[in-house]
Amino acid sequence: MVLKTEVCRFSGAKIYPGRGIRFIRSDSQVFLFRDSKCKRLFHNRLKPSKLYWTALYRKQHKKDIHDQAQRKKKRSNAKPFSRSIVGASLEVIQKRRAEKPETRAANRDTALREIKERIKKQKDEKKAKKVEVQKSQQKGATKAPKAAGGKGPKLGGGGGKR
Amino acid sequence: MISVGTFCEVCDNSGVKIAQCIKIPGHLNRAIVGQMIVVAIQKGRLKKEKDSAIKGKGVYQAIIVQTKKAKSRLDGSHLKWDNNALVLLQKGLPIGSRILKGVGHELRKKRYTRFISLAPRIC
Repeated sequence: MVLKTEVCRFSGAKIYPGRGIRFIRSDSQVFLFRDSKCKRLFHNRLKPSKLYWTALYRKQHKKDIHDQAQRKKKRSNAKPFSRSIVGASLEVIQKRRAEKPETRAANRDTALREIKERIKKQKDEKKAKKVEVQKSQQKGATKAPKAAGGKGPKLGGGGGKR
Repeated sequence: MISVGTFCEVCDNSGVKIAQCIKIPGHLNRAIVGQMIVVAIQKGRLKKEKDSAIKGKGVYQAIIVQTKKAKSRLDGSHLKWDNNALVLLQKGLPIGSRILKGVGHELRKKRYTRFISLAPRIC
C-alpha cells in the first residue's frame, strides 16, 4: 500500500499521511490544511497570496526563479561519464571515440558490402534448391494418383470379426 | 459533536428544517457522525407538505450525518463540515426519500446502508 502525500490548499506545503485537517464546505468543496495555523487563517478569510511564507506568494513574486535557473544550468553542464561497459573495455571505447568520421564510414561500407554478398549467396542457393524440388515434384505428381487409388483404405468390404 | 440542546439542520425532504437534540441514548454526553439520537422538531414547512409522514411537531429519531467538530479517523486524518446535519428516521428507515448532503462514511460501519445509497456523496 502506497501512502501519498498531499498538498495544503492554503500554504501549498506537503502533507504526509496521518496529518492535516480536511474541511468540507456546504457546496461540498474539499479543503485540506496542513495544520491549525492554515485552517485558522483560511477561516479568517486571509488571502494566501498576501502572506509572504506561502507557496502562492513566492510563486507570484518570483522568489524561487533564481534557484530553478541554477539547477537547470547544472543539469545541462553535466558531461556523460565514460567507463567500461559489459563487452567493451574503456580502451576500445576511447578508440572508437577518437576515430575520424571518414574512416568510420569506410569501415561501415565494407561491412555492409560483405553482408549484402552473403545474403545474395544464400538467396541463390535457395533458388537453386527450389528449382530442384519443383522438378522432382513434377515427376512425382504423374505417379501419385495411381498409387493413391491402389493403396486407399477399403470401405464396407471384408466383414470379419467385430 | 452534538450534545443535548444542539440545534441541527435536517438534510432530507421530510419537510423539517431544524431539529433539536433532546436525548443521546446510551448514557453518553456527546454524539458524533453515524450515531443515532432523539430529536424534537422545531421548524419546518410541515403543513404544506401533503405527503410527508410528519404532520406536526413531535419527537423523532435521527442519525447524525455531518458535524462541525472535526472527526478523527483511524488513519490519523481529521474531517469536519460546515454545519451539524441530521437525517430523520422511523423504524430504522429514513422518513424522506432523499438526502440532500454528503454523509460521512461512518454510516456504513453502523450498517445504515439505506442512507449511504440515498446520499449524493460519501466523504
